[in-house]
Amino acid sequence: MNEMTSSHHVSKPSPVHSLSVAIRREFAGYTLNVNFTSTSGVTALLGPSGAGKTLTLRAIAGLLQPTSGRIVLNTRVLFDSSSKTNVPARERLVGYVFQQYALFPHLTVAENVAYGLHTWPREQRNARVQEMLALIGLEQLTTRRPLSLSGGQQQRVALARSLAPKPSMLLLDEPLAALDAPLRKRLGAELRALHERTAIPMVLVTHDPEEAARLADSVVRVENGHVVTDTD
Amino acid sequence: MNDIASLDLFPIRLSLIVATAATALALLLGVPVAWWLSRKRFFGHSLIEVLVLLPMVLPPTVIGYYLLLSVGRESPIGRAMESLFGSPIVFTPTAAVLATFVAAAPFLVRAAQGGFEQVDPAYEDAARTLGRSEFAVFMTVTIPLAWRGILAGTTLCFARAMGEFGATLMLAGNIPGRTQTASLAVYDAVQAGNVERAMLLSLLLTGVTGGALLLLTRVGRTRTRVQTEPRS
Repeated sequence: MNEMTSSHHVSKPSPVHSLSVAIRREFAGYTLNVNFTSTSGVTALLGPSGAGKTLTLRAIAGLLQPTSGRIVLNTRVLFDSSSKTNVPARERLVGYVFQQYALFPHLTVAENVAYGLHTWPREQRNARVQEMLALIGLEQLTTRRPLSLSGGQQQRVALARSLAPKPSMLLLDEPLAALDAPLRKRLGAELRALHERTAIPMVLVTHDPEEAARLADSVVRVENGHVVTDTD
Repeated sequence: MNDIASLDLFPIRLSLIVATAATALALLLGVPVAWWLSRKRFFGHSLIEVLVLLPMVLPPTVIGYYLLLSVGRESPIGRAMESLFGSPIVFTPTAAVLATFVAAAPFLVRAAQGGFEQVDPAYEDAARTLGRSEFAVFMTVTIPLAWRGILAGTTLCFARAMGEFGATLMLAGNIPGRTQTASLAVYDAVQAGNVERAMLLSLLLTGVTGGALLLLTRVGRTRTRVQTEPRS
């Protein structure tokens, strides 16, 4: 599935993935100050809750504006306070899988997956939705509503929805936290397999060191809003 | 003299037109305000909220008096509009719509704001990362998820509008065949000792308003079933 990386939206001169984040954001009584660079296929942001992992993920996606700093994905500058660059979330081509999945409850599974394909011609859009549903093995559930699915199925739909528009990178916020233990192991392996098949770079947030070691190629430890070690 | 055949139904018609126009105006202006109040936190938020909701608790005569001060013939706005349109706004059907709008719109804003507050912002964020504009996010995610509150608000607003009396009387007067709405006509009929007319208008007003409420609650129930049906 080489086409996942060759997005038709942007031409990437280099297939080598690189993400560089250096951001600062002040909150009342709390400062987020995160610096890291990753060229790994799967990067884990590891740390206790409240460490700033999700905030970092939101900043990369364009859902949180840092006070200052710079975010560069491959050759694209997504945010740069010195040049007042702030690419809006809708133009970043960065997929996001939310912790509780945030699947649209008023839309069917197929409509959820098609949501990011609104600019595609109808035939290509339908084909892409089928392709994504086949990828996650849920072709039978196209007309179901998300709330009628199990946690594991919801997670797969969330993955398909975020991958459908061919993003340059996928961000996952505690992708396994909402699942029970046996399912967590299996879907962790599936996630890893999905990465191998699609070659899409991933950044995932987790509080579980074992999970980080199992899923990620490199681990960035975050504590109290700061990066403590960077074992790339 | 009190022949049913010669019963003048103009007040009922006017009430329906005024209430519909006021409710449409409330939807157009009130829904964005409700969204804004539910999503943004800013200095003076509470003050704006109180100002928007104040007509709910003020005596309608006070609302009418303030409106007279704002758009009456002696006010700057009233004078500007009079020179623009060639005639004053007070004691016209337009004035009845304005007074009804101010008295009824807060009910829509209040309920719609509650509806918006029920919508998890993660849904809107998900839509943003999938490439949708702010307007598209609002129309395809926020509104469909908050429709219950908006519908409840629309119902309350319309019902309040049909029953509007005091503010309309102050600003639009009680001119038969021009600004005399159904509630004003009932008052007039009772004052004139025309019991049959008062009874008939009251029953019609009750029927029309009750019917509208029934229709809206039925629509609400159907949609509810559709939305939760696929659960299995």
